[in-house]
Amino acid sequence: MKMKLEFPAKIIRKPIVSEICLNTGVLINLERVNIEATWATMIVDVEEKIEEVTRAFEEKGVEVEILEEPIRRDDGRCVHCGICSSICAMGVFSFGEDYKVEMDPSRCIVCKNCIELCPTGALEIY
Amino acid sequence: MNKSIEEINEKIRTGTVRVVTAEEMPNIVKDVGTKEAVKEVDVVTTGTFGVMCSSGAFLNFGHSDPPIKMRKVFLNGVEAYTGIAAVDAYIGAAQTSKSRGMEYGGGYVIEDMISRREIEVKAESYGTDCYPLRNLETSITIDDLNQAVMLNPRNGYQRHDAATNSKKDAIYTYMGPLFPHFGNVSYSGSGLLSPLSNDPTYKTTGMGTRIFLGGAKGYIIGEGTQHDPDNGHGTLMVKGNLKEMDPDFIRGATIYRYGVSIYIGLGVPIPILNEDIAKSTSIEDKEIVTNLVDYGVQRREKPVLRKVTYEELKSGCIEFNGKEIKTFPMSSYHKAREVAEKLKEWIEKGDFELSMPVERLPVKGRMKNMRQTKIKPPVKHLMAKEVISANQEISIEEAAKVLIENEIDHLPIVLTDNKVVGIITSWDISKSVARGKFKRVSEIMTKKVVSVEPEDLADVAARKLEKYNISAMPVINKDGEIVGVISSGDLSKLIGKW
Repeated sequence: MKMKLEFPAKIIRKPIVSEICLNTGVLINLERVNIEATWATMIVDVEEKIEEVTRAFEEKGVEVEILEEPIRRDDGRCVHCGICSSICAMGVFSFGEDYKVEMDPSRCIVCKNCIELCPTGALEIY
Repeated sequence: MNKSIEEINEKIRTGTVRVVTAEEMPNIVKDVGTKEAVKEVDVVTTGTFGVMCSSGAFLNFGHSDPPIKMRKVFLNGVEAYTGIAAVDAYIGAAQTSKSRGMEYGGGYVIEDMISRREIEVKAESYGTDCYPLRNLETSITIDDLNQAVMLNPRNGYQRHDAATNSKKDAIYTYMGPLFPHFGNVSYSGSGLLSPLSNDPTYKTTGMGTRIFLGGAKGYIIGEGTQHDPDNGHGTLMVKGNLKEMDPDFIRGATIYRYGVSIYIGLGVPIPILNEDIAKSTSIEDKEIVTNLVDYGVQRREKPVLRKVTYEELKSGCIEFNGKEIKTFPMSSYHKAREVAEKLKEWIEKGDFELSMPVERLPVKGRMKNMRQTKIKPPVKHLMAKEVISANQEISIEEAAKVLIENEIDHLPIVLTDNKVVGIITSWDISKSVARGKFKRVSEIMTKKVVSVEPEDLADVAARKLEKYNISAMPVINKDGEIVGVISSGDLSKLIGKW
């Protein structure tokens, strides 16, 4: 399950992810990390004890958002060209039956590269 | 056995016509041979759904009161060409929005029109005795127009080069993003479904051929611009009634960092009149060959790296220099199939009859290059040839001294074999002095050096300086050695001179 974590300024410098790994015994895979002077966001992948990990982060003051489907497609605009597949390093997009572009949103790490690349503006990150 | 168009149209009227798509035809010909195929199959439908910039529409707005002779007109902020009569205009698919840039443009206006959305119209004029109105603002839908005629000067390329990039920087082209060091390959066209690949000598395709265009009936009105039959790059000029088109088969598009355009669904029916035509419509992806071209070379003549078939391109990866390179399409094969299937359905239902061209497309001729009376010189004639460089072990003070003594702002850092490993500017030195903790140039130099080749033209160098927001860069030859430095100052000397 992918999660979006937002760290407020006062706790940025603390090793919160490591602490939670140790305390819960759950492996947390960092897929995208953005640390600035006054804020930080991370996209992480957690495979077990989702509720416990979520609670642990929230107790430390981190805002947690569960990304069930981080990327969405407007099927009315998609023309199934497949340009998205050229830029996605995670393999979210692939050609399926009848040469339609199929999506596996669970692989998405919200890099947003495909959003700008899509010629018809059919993709959206939330 | 030979058939005539009239016989086929009679079958369409009586509901006994046999129509297949160009995807189905190869197996039929394989199974029964061309002779039997002529008896069994009456029409083969083709289809393509790709980005076709050379597209647009003529619009007639009707007269306002008092009347206006539109000198400029904007549709949802996108300028349409009005150098024709008072309230006629041509909206081009590749025209970008005045305020929204590449986010919106002519292709989107056309899609919005077909979708029956309101379009904001702003027009201006100088005013005449017969057309006194000088400014106009209104809102229209396609149904308010007298005519809305799609007229595309160049659609349906017989085949298109596949693109890759040999250089060290990613480039963003009309063939999509091309990653450095042959990182990917893009291609366009539907291969065995492509209209002109199924009629490569234009036996039944020409002026007056009724076709599928954007979900409506349309016509081929002649050879497309840049029609290049000698090189197997035929093109079509087509027209159709925009008011009858379907947004399912027309879509505004933005090609990232390139511009706006439009996706167009186009299908040509091919009557199976004789064995020759049966044979040409049985073409398969493995028989359709195109060139893999290096778009990294920003010149008109781009190196052809190898021949490649549509079978390879569609497989998702091709081999080049012993490496597998991922391919991706610019056009939609899924939608191309929909076009061919839809056209098949129309013919079977008796809604679409075939027409023989009144004139075939030219089978001979080639595309010309532009005659240019002035060409700006290559970088090698403009650059500073006396290269002042330094090695990476020198101190920042020493580097500063070299810059001052030679009155330069850029110092390439090289190895003993003249290979560039970095570059230092006076600004880098100021920054390091202000921070005060660095000693060697290797610690502060920019390691990802933007460079050009000696043969690159001045405009290519200028575009690079602008793209990376820098004022000079080293000129590096094919062997990776520095041979000069080119600056914006060197390039600005061209102003007025060329």
